[in-house]
Amino acid sequence: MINDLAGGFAAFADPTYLLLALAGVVLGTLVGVLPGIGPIGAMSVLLGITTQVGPTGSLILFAGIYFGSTYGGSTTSILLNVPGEASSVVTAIDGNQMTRRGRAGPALTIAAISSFVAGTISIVGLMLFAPTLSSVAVKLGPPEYMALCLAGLVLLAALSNGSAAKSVVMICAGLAVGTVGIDPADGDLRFTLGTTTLAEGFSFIALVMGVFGIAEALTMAGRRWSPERVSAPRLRELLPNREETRQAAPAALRGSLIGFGLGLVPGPAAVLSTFASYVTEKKLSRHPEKFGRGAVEGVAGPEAANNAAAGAAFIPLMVLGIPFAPTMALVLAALLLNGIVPGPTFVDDQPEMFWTVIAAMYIGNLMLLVLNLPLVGLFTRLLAVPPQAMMPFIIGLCVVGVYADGNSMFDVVVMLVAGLLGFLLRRSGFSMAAFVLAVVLQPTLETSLRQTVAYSDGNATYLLGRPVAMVIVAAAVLTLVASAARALRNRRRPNVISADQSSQPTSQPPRQ
Amino acid sequence: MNVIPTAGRARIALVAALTALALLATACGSSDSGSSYPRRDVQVIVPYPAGSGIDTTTRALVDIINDDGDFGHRLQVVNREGGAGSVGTTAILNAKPDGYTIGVVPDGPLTLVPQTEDVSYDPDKLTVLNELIAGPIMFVVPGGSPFKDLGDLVDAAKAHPSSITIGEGPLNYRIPADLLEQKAGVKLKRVKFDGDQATTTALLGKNVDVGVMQLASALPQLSSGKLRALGITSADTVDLVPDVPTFKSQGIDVEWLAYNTLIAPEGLKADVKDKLASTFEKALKSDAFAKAAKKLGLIVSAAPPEEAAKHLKDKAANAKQVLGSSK
Repeated sequence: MINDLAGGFAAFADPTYLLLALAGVVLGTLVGVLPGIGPIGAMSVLLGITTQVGPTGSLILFAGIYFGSTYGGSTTSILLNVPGEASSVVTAIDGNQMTRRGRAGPALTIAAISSFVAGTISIVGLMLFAPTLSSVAVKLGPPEYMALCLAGLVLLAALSNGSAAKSVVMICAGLAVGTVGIDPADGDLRFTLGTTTLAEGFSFIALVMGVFGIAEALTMAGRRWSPERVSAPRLRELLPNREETRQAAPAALRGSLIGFGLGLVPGPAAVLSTFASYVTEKKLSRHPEKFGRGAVEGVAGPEAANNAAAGAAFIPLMVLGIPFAPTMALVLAALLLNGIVPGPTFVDDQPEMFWTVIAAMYIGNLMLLVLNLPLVGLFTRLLAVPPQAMMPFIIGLCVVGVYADGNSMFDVVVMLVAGLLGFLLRRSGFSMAAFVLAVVLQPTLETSLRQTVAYSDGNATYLLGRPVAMVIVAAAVLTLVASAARALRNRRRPNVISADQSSQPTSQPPRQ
Repeated sequence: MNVIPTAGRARIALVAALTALALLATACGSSDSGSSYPRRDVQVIVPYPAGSGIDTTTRALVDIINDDGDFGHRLQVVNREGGAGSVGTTAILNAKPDGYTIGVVPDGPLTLVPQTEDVSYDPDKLTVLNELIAGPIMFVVPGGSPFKDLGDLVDAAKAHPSSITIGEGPLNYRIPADLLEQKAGVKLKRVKFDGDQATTTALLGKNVDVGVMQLASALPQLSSGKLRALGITSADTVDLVPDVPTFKSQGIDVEWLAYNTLIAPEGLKADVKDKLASTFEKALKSDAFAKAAKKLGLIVSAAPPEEAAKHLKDKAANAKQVLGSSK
């Protein structure tokens, strides 16, 4: 394993990878800082170039963006109470309180170091567990894959912010859109209206760039905007004092474990893990009254959790080939576009790629730590750029990217239509993340469903003989019931967890 | 490995610029440059994405021809994927028959798919050039499977009808499985998988008893011992896997090859056809291609146009019997 890892680092003698890692983390930090566009938007805009940079390069770039955005998102949460990312919403609660009490510098440092520690722990976990889990995952058959896909979709709908009913609508829309094109089992053409253009289905790149790239650009352009006044702390004000460090360290470790665990299971792990960590820290604390008034643990725990979840989320993708989060759906798309199908044999078949990506994550995390603290001032100054000025650039990039991918004007039209629809639907509170994840999971879900039907000869009791599948379904149903029960209780007593959210007057709603 | 596409693009840009210059020169200058083909670069359409098996094969061959330089102009591989090969095949067969658009296709879109689907091209209206690859299909089991040969499989299937699971996929896999069922008089439980990698995973996890796949895809797992081959559908045993017996030698009369063939639109001029066929034949018979093919687990055919055309016709007729009877 050490040799493999050394081999992975050796691949960085190729400066292309180093540059891609740097580009990824810088870009990730930028989109993390900017409240308008998130990591999904950035990845979808870049999907068009993934075949040029190759599968390893794409993984490095996308991992950099993902990790970078969780770092960057915390900066604006702490300084401005404007979470750049949904996963930084919790950080804003105590982080911004620390800023108001003149401890902005230590808050930023604690967030960055907690992220770094968690990132490292999750990479080590990925490194240790992925190869072992692969040998377990290979045993999973079509019924288990079907159960996993269902669980992924159900949990996303149940646990995301916003209306579960609206998520279900978007999931159904995504599944429907995914059926256009060649039927994976029999090769029949479906919903192609007799054209060859639709024979291969809708281009995933076009759809994603539409609903994230274009729609996000339109949403941002329509927003009222006034420049934020930010005073970034000086370098020598960055160090936390001894007491802060003592409080932060165990919280960061617990946050890492919570994040890692949640990252492995279906659902919007990065966001959930921050809430889970915050609640845990508050419960464990000897002075829970400090939470909401600048508790150090309230910054360290969630910041560690979202980073650990980001790293852990790569495990199901690499081991099962199933993305549990929309960001991972984009990573999967980048791999598929390069002809790489991740799955239980991925680590065995592509050891160089796996270990290079692990090495890339180490390097990226280190870059982020080094970049983030000294450059906080620079990144926050970006908030003074009017978003309207960036929109033409983003839209142009999308059009060029989509066209370059398939040399097809039809794809460009699909993107623009998807963008417009996405823009309107988002305004009404429909989640595009659910839509995209459904589109990505549709082929796996359909293939495994039809294989299961073939295995069982259409006899549903066959599933009872597949305990693993039953356990997965049962877990999903339990979570669903629990979240419904919580929602009911909250309706009667409307300030349990939502109190945490409503206590902070964010100027923009966090995006999923 | 990732540098190739970018370098390719730069090269394409350079080539495009040079071509533009050359065209300009011809336009300004003489009309007596005559009928000599080729006068510009030739597009080789591959109906599958970059990095797929057929794409790798085609690129290896095209590189040999371009490095050799005797053709006079360059060949450029263009990937037009989608529709299980129908998008690219349409693009080739509906192009102008001027020799500047040719393509390498698997035989499926020509011999099998038109029998079950409506397609947007006429599979009989084409010019068949050289056959590149003729690959047999194998029936593969996990290393620890109780089946030692096809006889064991047939016996088990007779004892437990419709309960031995077999992982198959597209028509090129489905038909050999159909043929086995017909010839041995058995019924298997058929489960479709999405490509050889998915079938391999299912075999390794013991989620299917038998898998149908190409030699090239099975090769790495065969040499590591995780998978074992019961039989191969070629006429004779194959050098790459000398221990795997043919179906025929085990008393099951199934012969089945999947071809990759160079084709052009119908109505290609004789001199253009000859030039292309001889260029490709030379490259196919080169040591460099033999070496590349061995590494990829491919069996070079290099059959000349008439023979290649006959292979396609025979296969379509063969498939018609099976597909007709199973409908």
